[in-house]
Formats: sequence, structure tokens, C-alpha cells
Amino acid sequence: MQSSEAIAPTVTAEPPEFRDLFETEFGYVARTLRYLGVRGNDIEDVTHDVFLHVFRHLAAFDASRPLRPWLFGFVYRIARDFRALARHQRESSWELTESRDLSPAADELLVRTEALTLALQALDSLDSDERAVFVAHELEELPMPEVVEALGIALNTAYSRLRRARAKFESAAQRLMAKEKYR
Amino acid sequence: MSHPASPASAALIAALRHAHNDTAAECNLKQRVQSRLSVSLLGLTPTLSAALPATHVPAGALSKAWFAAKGLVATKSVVLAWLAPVVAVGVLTGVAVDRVHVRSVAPHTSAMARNDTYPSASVNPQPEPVSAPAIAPESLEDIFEKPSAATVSAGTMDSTNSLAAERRLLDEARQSLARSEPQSGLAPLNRHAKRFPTGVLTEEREALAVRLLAALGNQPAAAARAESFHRRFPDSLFTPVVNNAVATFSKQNAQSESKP
Repeated sequence: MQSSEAIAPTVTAEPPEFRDLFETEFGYVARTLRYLGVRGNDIEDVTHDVFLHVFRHLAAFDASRPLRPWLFGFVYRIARDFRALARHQRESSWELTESRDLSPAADELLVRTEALTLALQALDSLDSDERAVFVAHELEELPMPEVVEALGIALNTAYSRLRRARAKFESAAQRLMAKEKYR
Repeated sequence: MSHPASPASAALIAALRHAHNDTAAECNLKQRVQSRLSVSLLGLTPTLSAALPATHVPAGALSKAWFAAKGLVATKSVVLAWLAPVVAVGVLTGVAVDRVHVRSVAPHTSAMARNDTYPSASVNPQPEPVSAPAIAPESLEDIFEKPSAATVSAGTMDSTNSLAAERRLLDEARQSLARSEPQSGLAPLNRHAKRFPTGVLTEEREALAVRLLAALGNQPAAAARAESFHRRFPDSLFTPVVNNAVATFSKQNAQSESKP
């Protein structure tokens, strides 16, 4: 095998079938991307990219481990890279020709309630690294050791990001709720 | 939750935890992603996939075949059996369909599954003569040059990055092929090879390269490229597409040689 992309499988149980995984986890992946700050038509691009990566690495997934932290790792990295690329494209004159019609559908993925709208705004007050830990641990309720593994960061780093994220989210929540009350 | 959260914060966290997707929006999004994945993974051209009735994809032959293929990577023959309609379509679009300008593809996916909808295209091709490419083999070598060691290591480090950029480059090349303008597909592939020598879409790039070379009429280069493709990706889903690109070219040659 010459391919340098080949991954040595360390599988102890059968990985799930891709089609089943796509069916059951699609909603989770799309929603989590939204929580991480990907929105609008980008959701479609990034969801596509996530599943492309998942497909390619599925054989290496150890099915004795929980699926969601593994998936979260892809969701996080691809969302991060996508943001970096989008920023790069905005800053450079290098343009990739693509004009897709802007449908609002992707951003209306979630059933909106008033609280959810505020909550998404509060999430926007976090920086992307803090946000990832917050989403994984606080919203997806993944245990910290799994968060650490999915994000590839040290436990101390994860805890300090979580602390900052909670503080920022807290103050944003109070500010937004107060504003809402006196509107 | 072990830390004290204010009621405001707790309410918003609860809203996020219990949020659910709008069923219709999720379904639409899922269909679009699925359709794009079949393009990325099976090499269907955007032209063709755009012609698919996206709103009816899930029950259609295309998506069934696709999911079957994805789920059954272990058993190649089953994959190929399931894939037959999709591969046929991929081959059509890559090798013959666009050249004979069959633009209005079947309106239903069920129709797409029937090979006989497209008489002669894959089984017994009668394509128009390929116009001789105005590109010397040397420049083709240059275009598909092997990446240097330096770019390989940079690419490896970068391999999970910029998938969107990779995809766009390959889409550009695919569109050239679909427009029967293979010459203009070389530049984006070349850029992809330079920027992402070991990118996630390397396999797609190599398969596209074979198809482009075949479409350009450079049979030795296409055959050599195909051979290296098979060595590198022995279990590729693109194998039939690659083989067919080379085989179709050989047939054309045989036909034109047999003419007086």
C-alpha cells in the first residue's frame, strides 16, 4: 500500500455501517456545527466535508468506544479549518469561483424558540476554542476526558477554556435576558 | 452540572440542549449533502447530479446504490453490483454522455438505474472522434508531475485542512470534463496536486486525471496513470470508471484504425 493516507486499523469491534451512521447522526452533526458557529449555506458544505472525512476514517474507528466524541473530533476540526479557509479567502484576493444561491434553509435548521435565539447569540460571545469545549461538555454532555481526546488538547487547557467559556456565556446570558425583559 | 449557573444561563443552556432540528429543513439538507457526497465519492459530475431530482433522492436508485456501496465496502462484488447504475452513469458522463450532448438526463432516478435508457453509451460506445489535444506529452507530464518531497510533507501536515478548497478545484476539473473541454480541467488538477499532494481527495484527483487524459486522446499517459492508480488504490470505488475511461479510448482507436 503506497498511499500515505492509509491508516493502520486499531479496530477491536466492527465499525458501524456508513449509511446507518449517516442516517442516525446527520442531525447531530448539522446541529453541532451550528452550535460551533457554522451557519447559513456553509452548514451544507461543512456537513458534506465532515461525512467525507468520516467515511474515509470509519474503518479505523474503534467501535468499542463511544461514537459521539469521535464524531465531535471531526466536526470540530473541519469547522475550524473551514473558518480559517473562509477568513483566508476574505483576506486574500484569491477567489474560488462559486456562487450558490443563498437560501435561508440551512440557518433555519433548528426549531427556533425565543430562548434558543438568545442562547445562540450568547454562544457567539465565546471564542472558537472556548466554544468547542463548551459545546462538547456543557451541551453535548461529553465527559471531559473524551472532550480532551476529541479536541486533542491537554486536560488543564480544556478546563481553563471551559471556565472562561462559562463565565462569558453567563454574562452574555444575563445581558441578553435583561435586554429581553425591558424591550 | 457541578458549577453554579445563574437562572438566565441555565435557561439558555437548557434551550440549547433540548433544541431539535426542524424535520423538513433537516430532510432537505440531508438530501443535498447526500447528493453531493455521491458526487465526491463516486465521481459523478455536477452537471448530472444537478439534473437529479434532489427532492426525491432518498427513495431513488441512486441513493440506494450509494448507501449500499458505502455500507458494503468489505464486499467489493456486492458493491459493484449495487453500484452498477451509478457507475454506468459516472462512465456515461465522463466518457460519452457529455460529448454526445445528452444534457437532459432522465427526470427520475428510477429511470437512471436502467442502463438501456442510454443506448450504446457504455456497452457499445459510438462516440464522436476525440479532437487531438494541442498539448505535448512533456507538458502533460509537467501538468501531472509527481509532487516533490517538500510539498508532500507540507501536504501531509495540511491534509485535514482546506477540504473545501480541494473540493472546489476538483469540481472545476469535473465541470471541464462535463463541458467536453478537458484541456481546461488540467490546470485545476495540477493546482490540486501541488497544493494537496496527499489531500483527502487524492483518489478522486487521480481518477479524474485518467479520465481527462483519455478525453484528451493521450492514451499512453492515461494508461500509465490508470496503472499507477490501480497500484495505489487497489480497492477504489473509481476502479470501473478508470478502467472504462481507458477501455473506451482503446475501442475508439481500434474503430478509427479499422476504417479505410
